[in-house]
Amino acid sequence: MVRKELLSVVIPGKNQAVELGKTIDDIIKHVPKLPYNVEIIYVDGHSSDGSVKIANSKKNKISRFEVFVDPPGKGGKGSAVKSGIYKSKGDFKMFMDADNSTNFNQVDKLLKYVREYDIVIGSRYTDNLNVPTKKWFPSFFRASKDVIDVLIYGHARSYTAGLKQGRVRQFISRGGNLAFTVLLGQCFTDSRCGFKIFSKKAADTIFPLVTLPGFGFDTEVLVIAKKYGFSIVEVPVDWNDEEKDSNITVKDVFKSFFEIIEIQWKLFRGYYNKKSLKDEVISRKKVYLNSWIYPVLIGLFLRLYKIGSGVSHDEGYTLWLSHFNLEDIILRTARDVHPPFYYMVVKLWTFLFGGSILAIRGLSLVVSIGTIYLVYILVQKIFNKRAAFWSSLFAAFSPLMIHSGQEARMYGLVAFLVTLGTYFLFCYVKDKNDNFLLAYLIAMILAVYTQYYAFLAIIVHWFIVLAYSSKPGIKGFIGKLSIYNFKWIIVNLIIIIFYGPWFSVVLRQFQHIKSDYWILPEWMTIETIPKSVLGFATFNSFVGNESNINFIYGFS
Amino acid sequence: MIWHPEIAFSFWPGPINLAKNVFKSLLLFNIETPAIWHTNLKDEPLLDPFVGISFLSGFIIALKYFHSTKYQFLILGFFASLMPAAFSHNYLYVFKAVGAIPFVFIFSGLAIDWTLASWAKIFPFNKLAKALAAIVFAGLMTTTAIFNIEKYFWAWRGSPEVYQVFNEDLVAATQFLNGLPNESSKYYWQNDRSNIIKALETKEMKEVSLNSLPELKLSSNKNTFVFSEADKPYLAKIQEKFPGGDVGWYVSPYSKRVLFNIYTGS
Repeated sequence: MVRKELLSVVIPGKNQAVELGKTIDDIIKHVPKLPYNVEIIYVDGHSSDGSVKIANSKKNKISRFEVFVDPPGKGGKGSAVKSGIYKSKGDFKMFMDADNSTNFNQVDKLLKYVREYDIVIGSRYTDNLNVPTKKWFPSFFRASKDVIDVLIYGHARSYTAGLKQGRVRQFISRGGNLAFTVLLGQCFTDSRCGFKIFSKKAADTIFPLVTLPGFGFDTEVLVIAKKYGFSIVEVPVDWNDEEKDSNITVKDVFKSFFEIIEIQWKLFRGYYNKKSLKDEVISRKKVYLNSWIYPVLIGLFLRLYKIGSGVSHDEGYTLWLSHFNLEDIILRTARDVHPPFYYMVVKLWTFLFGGSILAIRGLSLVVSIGTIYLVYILVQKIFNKRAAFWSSLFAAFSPLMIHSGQEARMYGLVAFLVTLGTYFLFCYVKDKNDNFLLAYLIAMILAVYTQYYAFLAIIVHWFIVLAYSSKPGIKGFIGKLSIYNFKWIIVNLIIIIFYGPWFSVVLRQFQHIKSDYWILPEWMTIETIPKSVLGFATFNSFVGNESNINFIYGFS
Repeated sequence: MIWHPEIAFSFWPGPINLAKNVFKSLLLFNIETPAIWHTNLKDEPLLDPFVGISFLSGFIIALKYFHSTKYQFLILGFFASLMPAAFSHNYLYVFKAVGAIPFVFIFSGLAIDWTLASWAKIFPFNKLAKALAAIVFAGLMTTTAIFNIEKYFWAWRGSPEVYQVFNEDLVAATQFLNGLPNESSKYYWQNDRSNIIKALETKEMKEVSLNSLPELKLSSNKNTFVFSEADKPYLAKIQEKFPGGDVGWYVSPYSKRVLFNIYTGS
């Protein structure tokens, strides 16, 4: 006998007792017509109207029916759906609204495509099958048109619901869809339709990564699905909305907008990188053990302590330069030995926080704390959380790093920018998301305009790209010039082009400093070799002498 | 501007000098730093024993797993970041090694992670073993924290040499002049570090030099000049032009040496 596959139906609900009873009845009525076994999982969000009692009363009508109450402290549709999906055992997993907006019989339309696509979602805004592609502009055009339609007709022309929502709710719905398209690069007609089916693999991959407990989870689910390349299709379904206008508040609209920002930020930060459900449970338990918060707080405290005392000669130069306008700062820096970006930032910083030595050191403090955090997330990305914790803790306690966090000089800022650039590059080579490469570009342009040492970091970055190419190594890189490698070359060219205006200054500065800073060619003569070897043994022939230190000191 | 290509080659010190400079730069972390006080206690290594040993262990672990791309990145990144120090020939190479510091901490963190993971493999699911490891490493970290805080905030920052490096004389001189009444005219002798005074002054002060001295006219109020100890020879010039004033000096509470001289006249 061939085993029938199992379809899990997750119903999140709260205070919808009347509609819930009808919804469950409709499901039970339709199950015999399906070529699947069906399990129903109702997850209640602490209803006070007897929803749980009604759900329990239906248990004897179907063999697989479970009722759960979402744990206290958790709230919202997202949390309930996530809990339900965790508990479900189906080969296909779906969720639907408790209010019967879409009758369960509409599942027939979606089930036709579950072999072909990983995710099948119902849509109220299309008459035809819609496979969201990467064609963003048509989606943007369609989403914009829907918003204009709402303004003119009261609802989008593509809106297929029998009973239609009011104008305000429609505007919020279509405006939200436009925001998803613009800010998240999505190409769906109706990302928040509460009628979606997932393959087991898609559900098991996506839901452990879902973080939003409220209505925003729908969008988050599709963003994660896109990240992992799951195939998706939108299928038109019959939908009945309440005709009355929504009680959605301005607060809800803002919340929804901030959720989009939050999703983009999490995408950017790699929150949606793959982890199993087991890993998630473990990481929840250990979240406080190896958290970044301890190194950051310790680092902050140590850098604030005694931040105001003493002024080095170079800090005096920084303070003095901050009194000039931006143009003068660039001209005067050109006559010194550093690029101008740090001094420009200091100038802007003094507008906000004043020009005292304490205020300017505040900039170094902020970037130093930022560097501790970046060390944490970088090591976490490359290795693991525990190594990240210890590395950043050592950085927090390091006297040298405390010093750079209390000194009004550019070393803290360049360390921050280089670490930031390295982090973005790692995100790019691992996730192949162009946004990371653009962020890298900005960070490294600013870094090389802060301190020349940043160019050395670019050498290391080339190694990262070579090593993580689809075919590692230089031969692989050149032989298999993928689009990612090509973009990397373009980014390097852009950095060079951006550095063009400063290049003649660099040459002059190098001429100026070469005799004061660097080992001179005379060191290479035959006569000096024995002395050098002896010096190597005694460690004292190449560290300069006391007489030149005061002169050099002014340029460090 | 003409830029001679020879300059590019002047940065190349030759393989022997480069090798010994790399070696010398490596000693910064566990053996010795240069004989200056700008960033660290003179001659002392940058790292404390716990972090220093962790760093070396992490480096060895990275070498062991060198076939893995992420460890290659660490080692290459570390040496690339040491290059400014390796190409330097003056005392300040410790500044130029600052780019390698994050790599040092990553190596150290890796060593701790490796040790804890190995410990857990030897005693799997043993709560006592886990607690013991936590206590040992918490103890080591506490010791390191106390060591580094003591070293940075008291031993290093409290030393007279560091006050000197951080222009104790000019900071004190500016504070002295800022503290004088508004009606008093304030002057300081110009030198190559005068930008410190300019940066810290909160009241109007005039810079005096050999060039400007002949044109200088005192106000009818009280006039106060300060000279750093290095500029003391010029005090006689002021006394010559404006005789009859009082001479004083300001002594460092830390090094007990004279920081600056004061000449007051009406």
